[in-house]
Amino acid sequence: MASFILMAILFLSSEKGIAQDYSIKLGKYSQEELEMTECAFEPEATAIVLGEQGISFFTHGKLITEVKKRIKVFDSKATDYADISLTYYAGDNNKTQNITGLKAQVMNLVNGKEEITKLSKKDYFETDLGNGVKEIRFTFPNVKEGSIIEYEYDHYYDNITFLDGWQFQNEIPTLFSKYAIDIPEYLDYRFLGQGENFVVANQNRVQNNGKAEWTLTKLKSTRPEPYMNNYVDYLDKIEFQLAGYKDGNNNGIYKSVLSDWQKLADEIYSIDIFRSYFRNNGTFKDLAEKEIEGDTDREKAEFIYQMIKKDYTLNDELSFIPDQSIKKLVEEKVGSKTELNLLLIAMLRANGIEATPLLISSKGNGRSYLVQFPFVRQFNKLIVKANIESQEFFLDASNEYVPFGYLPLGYHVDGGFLIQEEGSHLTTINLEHKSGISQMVDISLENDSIKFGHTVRYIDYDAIRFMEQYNDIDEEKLAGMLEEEDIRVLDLEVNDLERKNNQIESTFSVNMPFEKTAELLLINPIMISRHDENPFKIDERVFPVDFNYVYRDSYIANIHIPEGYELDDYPEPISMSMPGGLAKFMYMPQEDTNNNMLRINIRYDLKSKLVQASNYAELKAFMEYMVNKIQEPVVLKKISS
Amino acid sequence: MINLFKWAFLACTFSFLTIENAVFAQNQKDITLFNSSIEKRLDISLNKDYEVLQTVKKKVTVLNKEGLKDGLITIFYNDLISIEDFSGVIRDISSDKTIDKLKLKDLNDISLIADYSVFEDSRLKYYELNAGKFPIEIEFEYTTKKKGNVTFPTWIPEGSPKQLVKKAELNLNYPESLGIRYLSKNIDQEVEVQKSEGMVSLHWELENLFTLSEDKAVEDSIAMVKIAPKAFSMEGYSSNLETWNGFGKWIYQLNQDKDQLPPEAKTKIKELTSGLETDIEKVQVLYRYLQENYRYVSIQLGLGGLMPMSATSVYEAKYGDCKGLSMFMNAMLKESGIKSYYTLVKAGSDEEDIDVEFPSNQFNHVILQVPIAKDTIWLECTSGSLPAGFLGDFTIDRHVLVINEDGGEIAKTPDYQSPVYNQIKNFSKIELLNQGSAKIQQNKEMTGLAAQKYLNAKHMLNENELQKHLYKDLDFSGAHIENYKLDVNTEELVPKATFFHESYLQQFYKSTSKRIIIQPKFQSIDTEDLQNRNMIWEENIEIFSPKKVTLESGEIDIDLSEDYFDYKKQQIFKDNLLKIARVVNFHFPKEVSEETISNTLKQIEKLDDQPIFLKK
Repeated sequence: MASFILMAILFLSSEKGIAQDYSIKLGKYSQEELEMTECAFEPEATAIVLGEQGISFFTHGKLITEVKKRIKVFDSKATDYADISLTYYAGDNNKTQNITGLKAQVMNLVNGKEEITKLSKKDYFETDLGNGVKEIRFTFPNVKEGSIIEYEYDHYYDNITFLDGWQFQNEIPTLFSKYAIDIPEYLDYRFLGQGENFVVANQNRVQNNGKAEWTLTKLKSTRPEPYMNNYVDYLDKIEFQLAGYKDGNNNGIYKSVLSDWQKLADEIYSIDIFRSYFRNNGTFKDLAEKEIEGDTDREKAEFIYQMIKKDYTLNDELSFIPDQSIKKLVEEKVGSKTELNLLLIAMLRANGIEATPLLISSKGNGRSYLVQFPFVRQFNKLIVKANIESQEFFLDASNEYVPFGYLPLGYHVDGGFLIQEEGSHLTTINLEHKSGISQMVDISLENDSIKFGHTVRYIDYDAIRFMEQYNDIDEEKLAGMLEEEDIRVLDLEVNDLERKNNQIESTFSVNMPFEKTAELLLINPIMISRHDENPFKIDERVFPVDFNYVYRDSYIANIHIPEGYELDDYPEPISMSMPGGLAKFMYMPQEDTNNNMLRINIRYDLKSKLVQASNYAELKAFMEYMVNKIQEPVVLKKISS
Repeated sequence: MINLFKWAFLACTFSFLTIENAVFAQNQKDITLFNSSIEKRLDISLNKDYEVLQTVKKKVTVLNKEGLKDGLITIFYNDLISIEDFSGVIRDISSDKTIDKLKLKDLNDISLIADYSVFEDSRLKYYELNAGKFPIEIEFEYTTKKKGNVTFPTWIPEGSPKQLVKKAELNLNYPESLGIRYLSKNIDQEVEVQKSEGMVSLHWELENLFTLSEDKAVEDSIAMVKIAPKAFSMEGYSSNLETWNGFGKWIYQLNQDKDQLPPEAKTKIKELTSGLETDIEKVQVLYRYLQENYRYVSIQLGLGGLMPMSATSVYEAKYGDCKGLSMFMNAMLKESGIKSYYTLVKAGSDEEDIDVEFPSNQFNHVILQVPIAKDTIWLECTSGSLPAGFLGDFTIDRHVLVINEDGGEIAKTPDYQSPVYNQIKNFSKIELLNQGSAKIQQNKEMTGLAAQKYLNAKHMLNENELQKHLYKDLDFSGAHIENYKLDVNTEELVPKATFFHESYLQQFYKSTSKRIIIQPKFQSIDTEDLQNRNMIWEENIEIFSPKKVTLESGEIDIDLSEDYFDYKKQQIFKDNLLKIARVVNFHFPKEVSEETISNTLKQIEKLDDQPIFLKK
């Protein structure tokens, strides 16, 4: 009894809190909305979403979301926010989704009087963007400082297995964003929320008889930032996946849908085209008979991997479900990333090597972590996990520069879903690597110039990055990149013979003329370094900094002091690290009087690939100091005779 | 992201680059001479109803993966252009087997609407060739029909880089009574002419053309035939394009009666201009009113987007595109007794000038010409930030078509070469602090075109974004702006931006055990800032060290006069205070290459970058 009362009170109080403050009715404005001239929690904002709401309910086996949005323009700079596009997926049959009942209006206060201009049908322009995607675009007239623009529409969804749900943030700050869904008792959904603000709101959510409601308030604007092309992975949002339903044709017996990981795997295996890659069919037999070079399993696997990359062409299909059977793929030699990876699995298996498909959510797919239950829409890519000579390998055969055993940087995520015939589960992805840049610079005077003899070795992911960016490097290009006046680059050799260890070694020398008459000779020993300048320029940051992978750099410079000169001055030693040991930097000059030279030892370790926004200020300062320290010069002086 | 330089285009710029890049962003190391070969034929026929039929036939042999992009099929269409038929076939050459037959429904269909447009009717059907085995052949043919013959496609016989053009053919058929004109560039072959039954046929044919370079060719060197009509008509509006005047007459027809204003607009204009004496004052006030109350919205309706919205609809909606806003401004000026002229321009800061000798629709934007007592001024009606009468680098120094009651005539927009339009003056006071850090007080003054960037920033960005922009623009290492003030003055004809800031610089100088080494940081200027070729750039820097130091590297007094610039630098030191005064005066000739500018900038950088040694 007591708990019943408690529940009733909770219900009442939340109803009071939410029903009154957070709802939108076109044309009805609160005094506060009328008077607002700036966003209290983001004063620089030029416009604000006063409120937006999505109310979802089911009818005739369809989902309808009634959407309303109200924006206030504070500044004429923000009039662009009056250009609206509503995108929806109409699908091939043109009825997967639809938008109806669009109403839009703009209100201006003229001499204290509300003056409303409504948009009419002729103001809405529908555009077919292709591939089943449609868009309605419109713009508001009479938009100026103080205008309140608002619109509403109904969004119909034919498919109710997966629901789009709601994304709470906007490009401009949002005063409140509310999402409600009314789920009938014969349907059962899993909720999947994400984002810092969402977690808080979820604790206060109103829930009653299948009705649930989330209201997030005072949301800051969201914008992309450098070293974070995947900020969408951190936004507040909620999605749904059907967990089960009561079957009306069968006495209302509950049927579960994708209730565990194996069910999800079974669902995927039940797709004929997918299964064609795992069957003992004719193609499989052909593949098994194909001649594969290599003595060990590892060698064979690598051979197969390279062969697929060489013989097959990639198309632009993006789904993690294949579009064509293995037979067609092998005949035409054109396929999607997914298909090439499935072929890799088939060929490995045909050669007795254990290989399994692995679904992941790549960076920028909107997920910063995986959900622990079989929520299929969190995944977007299919890669391969192979066990070779009792060692785990993660493979993607669809990327030109990524060698065997490595993954493209956008795939550096913590885990994935292993799709097996039995016992499918989430698994962690461990990428063993020793990425980094090691360089030796030997500096001496040669005739009229200073010669910088370089040996730069790029290891693992740095080797991949090097290949992606500089695969066509030559002496002229390198000279251009060094941004030094009047230098010449000689004897460049890029040696990727060691590709097996995934190392690339480039050797070259840089000749720089110098003034023979000058009293002082200034030498900047390091020309190549990971950061030419501090990538972080602004003061604040909202989302984490993502370096994609950890690394360890080591630069050594030997400066041979030429005849007629003496070592006059050089940078002071330093060793520093970021709080929590996220990164370390060391600069150690060492005079070697016996050999008449100066040796400078530089180490830079990044120990965490993700740096939280709360550590941003330290990171910025660390980078600043490091980048400048590396550029400090050594001073040689003419010996006065 | 807010684009700082979002401007108004009249017509959609047609580009497939994005599609190609996304799909074919692959690289192959092996060097192959050709990726594909092609035989192509373009038939253009004009009929008596002013319809243009265009038949494209292409046979492409793709030799390797890289060549797949040359098998791309693209067909552009809209409410005036319809696709009449299409067929295609893909063959395996080695076995002579047909792999696939293509019908129109096999092509993808997308809208080419620009991101910033609210409405635009331009669509594309395309097909991407995919194959794993080579060589492969794709052969296709399609016909489109266009209502109206204002514009014709340009024929470019050359292929894409690393493509061998075995044969390229152009056939141009038209009724003698309507006529046609053409301009052939970089083609030394004579055209073949045939006449029969009132129809004329022109024929060009070239063989074995190729470009091995991957670089984009300069337009001047590309072989092409540009085509334009004599008599032309579109949806009942007709004229003759043999002269610019004829084109002007046509535009004038489209604009007919678009300049009517409702009574309340007239009252508003009276209210705004009452008490103002001179025309220039009235222009300024009305232009300011336009900037503050009307915004640019791209809605391309009517005659393929060539007919402007009426001044009345712009007044009611408080928005318009370049045509609508110019028309509305024109109507407001007319109401105040000031004549102004609707003017067509080919806009774009790096666009080449139009072919003045070849009257045809070469324009993509509209501005307004206002001849007043002493001078003629020009109004860019889509800009919210420029002063009245100042054109940005988007439309200066080029030929334009001014539309008037009698038709139209070619005029030229100003080139803003005099120093008053191109000036940067910076004054910096720097105090050295510990461990490489420093405090800076800087005042930057930019006049004319040099102020454009800041005018736009001030106009479009909120405080937070503006700060980001300033950080980027200042490009100081580890800067923290403590306070700043950005003033823009658009009251005068020539705009001016003044930016003052006080900042902390985490790393300003380098320190060794005995010395302080300073590489003075001047504003970074690139070739884009020098598009107008002339500029006076002044830097004054005072560096003060609270600790006692001596100047080791010596005082400087340079005075240089080079072909493209004059350079003066003075560096004096007294009582721990180093004063640097440096002026560059750029004066590039008219036909200067980007490379020359870039090399000159490097030369200046070298002069600027002399390190300063202060001994502790």
